[in-house]
Amino acid sequence: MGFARSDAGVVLQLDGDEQRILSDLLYGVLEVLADDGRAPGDPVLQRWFPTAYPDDPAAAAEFRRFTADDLTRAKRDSAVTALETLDDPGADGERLLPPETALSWLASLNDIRMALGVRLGLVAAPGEDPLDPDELDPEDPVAVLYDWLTWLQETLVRSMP
Amino acid sequence: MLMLQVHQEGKAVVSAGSREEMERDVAALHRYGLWATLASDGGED
Repeated sequence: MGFARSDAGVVLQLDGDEQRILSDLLYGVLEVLADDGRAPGDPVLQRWFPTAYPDDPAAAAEFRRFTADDLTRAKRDSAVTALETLDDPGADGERLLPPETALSWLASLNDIRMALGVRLGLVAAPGEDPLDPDELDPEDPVAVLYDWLTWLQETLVRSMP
Repeated sequence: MLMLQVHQEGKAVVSAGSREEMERDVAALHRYGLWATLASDGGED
């Protein structure tokens, strides 16, 4: 299950539940990116679009003005590409990913893990200590999801050509 | 070594050059989800 390397490239194997979960999460990424009314102070957005000049708000705003659109587009394109993989029924439950598609999956899984990591407190607000992943509540469904995504991401990294 | 420095000190210098070059590098690192920032060392830019 997860990602694996084959002679033809990276293959992805998911059961129906996993497919639905990933589809929901990827649509979630697209929704956040498309929300024009999003609060700039949202900690997930601060992690996705980090400030380039922590000590210089004017320079930080200018940098953001010139780079945010490209970064938004890159994140959106990755999520769309990953969703297209999920739409492809594959052969015998296995989907073959071209190298570019595997990179899109790597980027999107990273975006999703960053967002969940912020929500779980693994990424701390300024002046606060982040939570140690070992301290996560094993009963918390978001923590279980985060663990699974960490495992899935690792299978992909190990399968990269 | 780099990862160890990041782990222990929370950050590491990975690139140096003109402001324009550095902004390009930082934007590229942000695409990989890395928390890159810029700071002036007080030299010419």
